[in-house]
Amino acid sequence: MPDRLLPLPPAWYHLLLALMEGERHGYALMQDVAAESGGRVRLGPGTLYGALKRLLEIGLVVESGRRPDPLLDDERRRYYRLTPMGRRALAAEAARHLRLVELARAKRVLAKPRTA
Amino acid sequence: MRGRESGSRLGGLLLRLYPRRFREQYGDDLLLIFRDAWRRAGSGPGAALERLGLVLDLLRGATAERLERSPASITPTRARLTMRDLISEFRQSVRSLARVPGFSLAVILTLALGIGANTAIFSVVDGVLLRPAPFASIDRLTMIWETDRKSGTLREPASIPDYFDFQERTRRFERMAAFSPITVTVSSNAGDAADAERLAALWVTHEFLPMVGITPILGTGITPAQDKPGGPLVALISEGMWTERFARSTSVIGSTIRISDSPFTVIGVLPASADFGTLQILGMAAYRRGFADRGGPTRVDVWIPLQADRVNANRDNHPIFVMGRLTPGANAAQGQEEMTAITADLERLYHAANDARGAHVEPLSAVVFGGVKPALLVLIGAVGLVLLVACANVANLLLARGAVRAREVSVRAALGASVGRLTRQFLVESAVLTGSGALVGILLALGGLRVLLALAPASIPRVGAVGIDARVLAITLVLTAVVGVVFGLVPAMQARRRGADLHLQSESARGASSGREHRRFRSGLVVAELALAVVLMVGAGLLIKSLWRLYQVDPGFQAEGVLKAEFQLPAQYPQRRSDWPRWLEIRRFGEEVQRRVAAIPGVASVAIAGAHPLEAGYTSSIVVVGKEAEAADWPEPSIRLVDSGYFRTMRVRLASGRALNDDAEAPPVVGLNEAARERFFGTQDPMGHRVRLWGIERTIVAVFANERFHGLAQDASPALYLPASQAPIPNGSILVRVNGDPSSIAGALRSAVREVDPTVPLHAIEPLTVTLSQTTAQRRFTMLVLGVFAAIALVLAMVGVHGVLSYTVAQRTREIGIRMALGADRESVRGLVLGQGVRLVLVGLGIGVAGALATARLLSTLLYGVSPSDPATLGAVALGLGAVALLASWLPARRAARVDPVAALRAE
Repeated sequence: MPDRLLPLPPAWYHLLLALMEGERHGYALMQDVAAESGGRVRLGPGTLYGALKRLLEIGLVVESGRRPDPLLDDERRRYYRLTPMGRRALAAEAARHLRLVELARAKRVLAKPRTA
Repeated sequence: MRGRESGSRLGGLLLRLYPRRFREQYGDDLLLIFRDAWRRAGSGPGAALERLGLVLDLLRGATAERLERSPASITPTRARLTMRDLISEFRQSVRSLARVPGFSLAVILTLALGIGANTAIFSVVDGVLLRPAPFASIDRLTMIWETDRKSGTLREPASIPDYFDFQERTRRFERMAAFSPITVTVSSNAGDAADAERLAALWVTHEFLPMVGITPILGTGITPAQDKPGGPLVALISEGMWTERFARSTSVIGSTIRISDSPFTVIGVLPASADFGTLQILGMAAYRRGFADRGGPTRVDVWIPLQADRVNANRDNHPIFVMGRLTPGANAAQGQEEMTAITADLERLYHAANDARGAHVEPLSAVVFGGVKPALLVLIGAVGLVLLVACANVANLLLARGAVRAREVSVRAALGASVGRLTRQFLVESAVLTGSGALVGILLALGGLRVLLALAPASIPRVGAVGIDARVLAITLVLTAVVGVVFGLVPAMQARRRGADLHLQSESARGASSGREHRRFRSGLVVAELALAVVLMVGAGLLIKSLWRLYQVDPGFQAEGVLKAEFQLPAQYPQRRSDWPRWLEIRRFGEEVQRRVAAIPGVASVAIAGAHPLEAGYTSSIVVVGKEAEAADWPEPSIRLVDSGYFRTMRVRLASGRALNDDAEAPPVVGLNEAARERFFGTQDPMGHRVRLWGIERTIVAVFANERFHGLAQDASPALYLPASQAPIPNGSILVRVNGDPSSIAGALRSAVREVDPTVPLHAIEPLTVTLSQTTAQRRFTMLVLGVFAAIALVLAMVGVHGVLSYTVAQRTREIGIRMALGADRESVRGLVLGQGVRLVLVGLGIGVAGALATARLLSTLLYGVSPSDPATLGAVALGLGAVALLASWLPARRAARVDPVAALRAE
């Protein structure tokens, strides 16, 4: 099943990656994605919820409850976490990226990596 | 704080664009995040771009949800949104429009002007008029003015005994309260002029704050015990003063501040909205307007218990303004009825003091908003016309483009493109145009609002609290989007209606009925634009002429070259009633200031006056000896205390008699203004008559030209001038005539006064021309805004004229070619096109002038010295519009005249 979803849209990939750390609410996801990509990927609220909605529909992510974030304010926020299928899809996508990177290396697209 | 609020409001608005199901499921979280991100964007130009990125992101999201696009197409936005990203976002859709840059730019700018102007103006109107007032149930609050049948004044302050009698007798008002404006010197330490500030203050009765429904944000209000004569010295301060002077420290409660040299205990802090309407109420009053006469955006900083003394207060003296809250269910008319009966009773009981006095009950909202409502309504109407012109123009432009593309549509439809597909294409193009127009429009609205607020006169209530209104923005956007979409679809509809083959038929189909019908519709649009532009231009013209007329008015004094500074002598200057008018110390202060200021290099002359020439000051009843009987129906004249330098400094003309330079020991004298001479003496010579005022008889020795101390637009009322030597001036203005720039001596003036007495602070130091210009600020504002609107409408109408004629020329190229081949010369071809332009303009002018005549009456309250149907203005507008329209027609006409007959006939 996860294979049929590949390749994952980049927004999904980043979201799933961010959820690997544990459950998160929307605003934290926005911040984590920005931080993990070194600021290169930014999800606006509209993009974020568009992607989350699909991930929930397909079952890669589930909602894990509503509670306030003690670091932010008193507003009750929805938290999300990965499902086992979400984890598998993420792994499949990462493997796909890896195969692509190896292919690129074989063809010397990238500078030669130092031999370990 | 406002940023966050506007963030969630805007977010809520954008959320509506999402499908309902999405909204129900994710709406609140999405909004939360949007608000968080909005708040974190901070401020500055980078933040604006960041926020724009957020808005665009939500718009994208909403579109994706609406279209249910495949998940794979959702890609994250790249890092920080840059200008370059913005451009590339637009690039794709813009490419097809870029091929017709003139068209695209015209549509986008037209939309932007319409959206921007409307949003800005409606935001002002919403913030000023529509937003709920800070006072509780303001519809039950009324001003209770006293009236004077003798002078015909409707809005006078009340006497203290009258106020208590009103309170005792009324049944229609559940509560009454009184207040009175003063300017106070506030300092932390005694006698320290450097730390002292001159601040606007209100004396209020203990009922005032509870009655209007304002509660202190810190501390308490005024108790009845604190409001008794001889009660404790306590004060409430404004939130602004609390912030500036006390850094919002809660320990301010219970601390002592010196107000006009007495120690007052601070008992509370009032919110910024507490002085709502104060300036407007005072500005309406016949006299005793206090700090409202400064004209600037004065903030009230101090509230002190009035401690009115019912027993000892004089019924002749009118120091307080009375406000009342009607009982639930009672209306202002019933309040008026009751107050008329009460004042009639008081007139019988206290005939000497209350002769000819009545009451005028006026809803508070009418008082506060009455002054600006006509102008704001006119501006709303005008901006509505601008929007109509903009819509007509967009329709016109889109129709023109649609006509050009009709052939393309037909060809593509014939080649198998479905009408649905074509429709979609046109829709996308319209969306790009309206979207860009909307974006530019929002920017214009933000900028425009900032400019509007910077120009707005202080007479507009709570103008400081105005912000862009999201609802208004949404409505305008929807309206323009509808126009864009509807007219963008016209070519596709035409293709659907007529079948694909029509435009592929022979060339003869072009000049046929469909083209003519189309052209007629577009000409109709242009005529409408022209007519609306004429209406706006006439309005603007009338306001310009009013202002010009106003500037032509001789105010009776010369403000140019005069610096004004106001002062109030502190309490250590003895002002005992029994000693008046000796008051040696006060006279000495005046003489000393005269002497020292006159010595400042560049000073031509100096005057000290109880009221500067643009201050209404106060009035008092007088008696002319020998005319006691007539005096019964005389209006109270304004009493103006002036020193011997006044008439020289202000260049007030002496009409007859001699200068008022008598010294203290000389027999008391008085001067009249011409209005007083006319009112009190008619054709009689007033010289040598005696006037009784404040227990002293004075001989009339001079008549001076009228000074317009109620502002340029109002005739002078009767006034008496008393020489300062015989009527000392404990507070008032120092007026200095300077050779050169008046503000250059402000520093020297301050130090000269400090040398005389370091405890006397000066305030409201400004060139008198600035004070003068404040009296016309609201007119200037209205004129400027309407002028800009008229200019926009004119430009749009010209774009319309040019567009329609260019279209005609393009469409009739073949016909023109034939005419020329048959011997028509270039002159006649040019005339043909110009003729069409002239017809459009004439019809537009005709309708526009009729419309202007019908609507200019709405302006009448804003006009001065010019009739709403002023022929000169109408003529000037007609000529101006005609000339510009001819210019707009000239370009297509020249193009027509340059048609090469051979090429035209061979083409296609």
